Amino acid sequence: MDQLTPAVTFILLYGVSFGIVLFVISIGLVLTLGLMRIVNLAHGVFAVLGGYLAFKLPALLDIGFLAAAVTAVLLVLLIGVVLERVFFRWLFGMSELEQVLATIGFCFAFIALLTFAFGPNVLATKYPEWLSGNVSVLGRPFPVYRVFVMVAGLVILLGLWLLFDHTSFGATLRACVDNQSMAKASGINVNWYFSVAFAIGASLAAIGGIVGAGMLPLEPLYPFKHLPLFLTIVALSGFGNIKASLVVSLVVGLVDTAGRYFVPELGAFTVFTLLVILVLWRPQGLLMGWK
Amino acid sequence: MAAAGSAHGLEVGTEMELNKHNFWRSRVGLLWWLMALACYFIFPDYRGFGASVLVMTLFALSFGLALGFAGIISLGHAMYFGIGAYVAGRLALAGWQEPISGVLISGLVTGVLAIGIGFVILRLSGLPLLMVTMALSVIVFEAANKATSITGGDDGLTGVSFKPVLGIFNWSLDGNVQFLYSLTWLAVVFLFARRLVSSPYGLSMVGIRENPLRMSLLGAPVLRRLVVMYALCASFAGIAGALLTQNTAFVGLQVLSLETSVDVLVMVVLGGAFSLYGALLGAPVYLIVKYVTQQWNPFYWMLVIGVLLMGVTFFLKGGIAGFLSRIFQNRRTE
Amino acid sequence: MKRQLLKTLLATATIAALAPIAALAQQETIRIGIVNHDTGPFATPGREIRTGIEIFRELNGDTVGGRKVEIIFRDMGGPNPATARRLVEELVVRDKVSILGGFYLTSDASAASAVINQTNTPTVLFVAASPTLLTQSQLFVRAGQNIGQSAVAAAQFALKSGKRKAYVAVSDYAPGHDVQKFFRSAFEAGGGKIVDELRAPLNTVDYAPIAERIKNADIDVLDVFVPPGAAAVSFSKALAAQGVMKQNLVIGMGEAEDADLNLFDDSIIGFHQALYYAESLDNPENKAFTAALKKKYGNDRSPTFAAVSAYDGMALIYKMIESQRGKPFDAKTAHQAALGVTIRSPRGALTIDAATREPVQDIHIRRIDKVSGKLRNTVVDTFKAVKAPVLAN
Repeated sequence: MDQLTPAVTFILLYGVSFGIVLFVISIGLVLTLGLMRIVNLAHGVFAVLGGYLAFKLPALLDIGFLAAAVTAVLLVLLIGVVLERVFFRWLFGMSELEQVLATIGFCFAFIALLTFAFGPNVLATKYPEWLSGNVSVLGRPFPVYRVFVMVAGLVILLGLWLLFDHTSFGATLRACVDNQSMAKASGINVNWYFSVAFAIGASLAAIGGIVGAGMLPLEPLYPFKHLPLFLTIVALSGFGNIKASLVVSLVVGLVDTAGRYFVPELGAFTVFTLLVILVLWRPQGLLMGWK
Repeated sequence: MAAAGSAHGLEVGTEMELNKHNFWRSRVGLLWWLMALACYFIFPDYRGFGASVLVMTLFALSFGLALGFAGIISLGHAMYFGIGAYVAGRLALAGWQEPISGVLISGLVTGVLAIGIGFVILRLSGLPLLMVTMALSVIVFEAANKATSITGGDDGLTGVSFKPVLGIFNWSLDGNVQFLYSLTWLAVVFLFARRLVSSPYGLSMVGIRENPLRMSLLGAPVLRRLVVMYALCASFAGIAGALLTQNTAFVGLQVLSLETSVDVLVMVVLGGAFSLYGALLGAPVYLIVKYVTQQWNPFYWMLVIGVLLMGVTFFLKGGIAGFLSRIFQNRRTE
Repeated sequence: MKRQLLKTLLATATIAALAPIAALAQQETIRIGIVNHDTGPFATPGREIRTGIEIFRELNGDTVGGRKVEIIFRDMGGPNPATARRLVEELVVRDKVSILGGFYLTSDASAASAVINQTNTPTVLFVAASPTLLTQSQLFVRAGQNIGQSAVAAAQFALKSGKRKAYVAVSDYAPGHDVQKFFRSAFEAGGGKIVDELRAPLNTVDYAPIAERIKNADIDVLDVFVPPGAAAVSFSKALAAQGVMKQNLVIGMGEAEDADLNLFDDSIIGFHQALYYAESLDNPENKAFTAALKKKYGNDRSPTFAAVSAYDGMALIYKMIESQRGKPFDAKTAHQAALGVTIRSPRGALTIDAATREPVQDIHIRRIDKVSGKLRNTVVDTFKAVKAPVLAN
């Protein structure tokens, strides 16, 4: 038992911080899929773009990390709005297969452009000094960086909760999800809400990419490399279910960390085995509806 | 079970239904086969490449059948392709080097495997099915990576060789035998598939795809039919995999990769998911464009392919096959 | 008499007419095929290989043995042995290359071995390091290393440094398994004990659990092997965060070349690597090589082991071509021309063992330190003239 406690603390702390990164990145995909029924396999694009901008801007514009991160998120927000109008909006009426094809194509093109711009290597990401070092948490050293990740995740969660449960915007958005035709009939400009949701999703992905760069290194192949992971979370969450996706992300983070800790050889299997079991057990997703 | 009214979460693209096959069967379809054969003579230096295109076309056909007619969206079809490839390889290493029977055995193994898997997963549809197939495929890939004694790991299976086809056609570096051998297999499977699709069984598959609830209410054994179709498609994929092994005298882990599953999905949707010729159009186009762009400049191919895919989705509804059929339909009505 | 004269005149005229043609024939072109990774997950080392080739051509020209050398590059696009076989087939059959080079991944070469054997094409493996590779074709010659050389050197250095309790953590793919075997064998042979081993799947994204496991073990040396790039960065950061770097001798292979050091932070200081090249090596060839590299590609570029391997591979290929001066190309003698030779390489002296076709070379132990404010690899020890090791079992 004595040997188990440090292992459990480790898995808890590291698994949760990893899960939070996955959550922040995948939320946008959950929203897009749930609201607009668009299978956006290129979602990782926003995450990696945010990351690249945040780590390249300090040198380019001679600003600090936080300023660069904020700028990067805003830029991705802008780009997300533009792309939604120009590209993603048109996926709305298509069959799922066509959406898959179009977004894969978009992903390919984007990866190619990123490679042209920055080369095929992993990006050198150096977080600022105040994120380095360890603190003592639950009786063990824990990187400040990971504490930051958890705090950021909490803040975002709070923001989302406030947005969806305590603003009229959020209420309207939920109405659009639950019953689109009724919402339209009530005179709500559903399309506008979807566009906003898409933009939010893109910026959240950017935050996730920036904050998570220490765990998911930034490179051009990023959107493809981590697609199975993001898709796993989305699939297990059910459509548009934010609370479920938080639970799922944390579970995935914990299971992956635990798996790799106890049986590193089989580390590659744990998440996907979990996926198979869960999907076969509950095809509609883990939790139903908004709580 | 999928919700009524939605074909496994799949919305029908264009109405490339079975009745189109009569049309295709006539001149246009034949043209494809003639062109394929012509390539053998027109591009003698590219027969090896041609053989690989034909093998992937067969693989795409196997996937297109499952997707277009049974509505089974899978991101893990490479699993059967790869298993077929490894079975053929191991057979050869064990001394069984007769190619045609080797292919048939591989197809049988993958088909039987798919029956078991199908009964479990085909209760699902749409995104959950997609995810499970993807997860299974990744698990099989990782397992193969670890089982180095069986698969050779990421170094691959070497020392694989085969007896001449029918005892007389020798495998050679210029790819002559590989090309014609693969073309023959493709033709055989295609004819079988076409028969299947226009049979009453095939019609019931369309029904299942369109409205599974109604079909089951009508008394059709939906799951069983899906599993049979799935197993047939898996065995076709296994045949394609075995052909690849025989053509290249090698098996590498990539036959099982997620990338391969994604590639074949792209090829089929590109060509048109609801026509048997979709696979036959999509696979060569995708592979040839990729090949040519890579020769031109290896750095540009991802951009070109990406733009191509987006272009086809937006401007060519129903893929290439859909586009062609519209052209010919218009011409016919004039 | 007249007929004799006529014959002689005819003969002389023919020879006179053919002489310029013969001279032209001496200027014939010889084609070399390079199988490389320009795109895909190995594009980075692929670029280094191309660089090495270009620098060699800069410094040595593109004519040798009376022939003009034409290089045909082919892109693998990622790990795909089927593609390797097809590319080699095309290079040999269609493009009519006489010698093959390149080959970064072991599977690139092993898939093509059947074709190489069938067509009798001399092949120089620039980087592919698997020990069993050379058994697949008698025509393979290695210009990089046999991975066992560095793995054994790492073990010997650890023993030399007084370490006796080792943990071996590698990526779960063939080269990683090879490193495991050789390190273990050499370390135990020297009286050390392998406390534990693990294989991390290649798709590992978060290395913290692995680092945690290592931290909990009672060891004094950790031997690692992960592919350079994302994996190396993540792994080393995770190790540093757990304090593993500071507490133990951590020794790898090629995870942190000088060219890559901008990806790491100061936590990489103290990381050792056993490899056959280091940028800081002080010999005239390395100086010339580095100078030419920086001149052509800018001061920010640094030489790497992949570039040097390609450079030396080209040297071997040129030796092969040189051996065919004045006669039609003969694969057997060309191949033999590379055996038993010693070339002066930026890495020092490189000898190709005539019997095993493996390289015999110095393996350097490098350590990352901060030198004038910048992270750099410095050589702290050298094992001289290391041969390709053979495992006991």
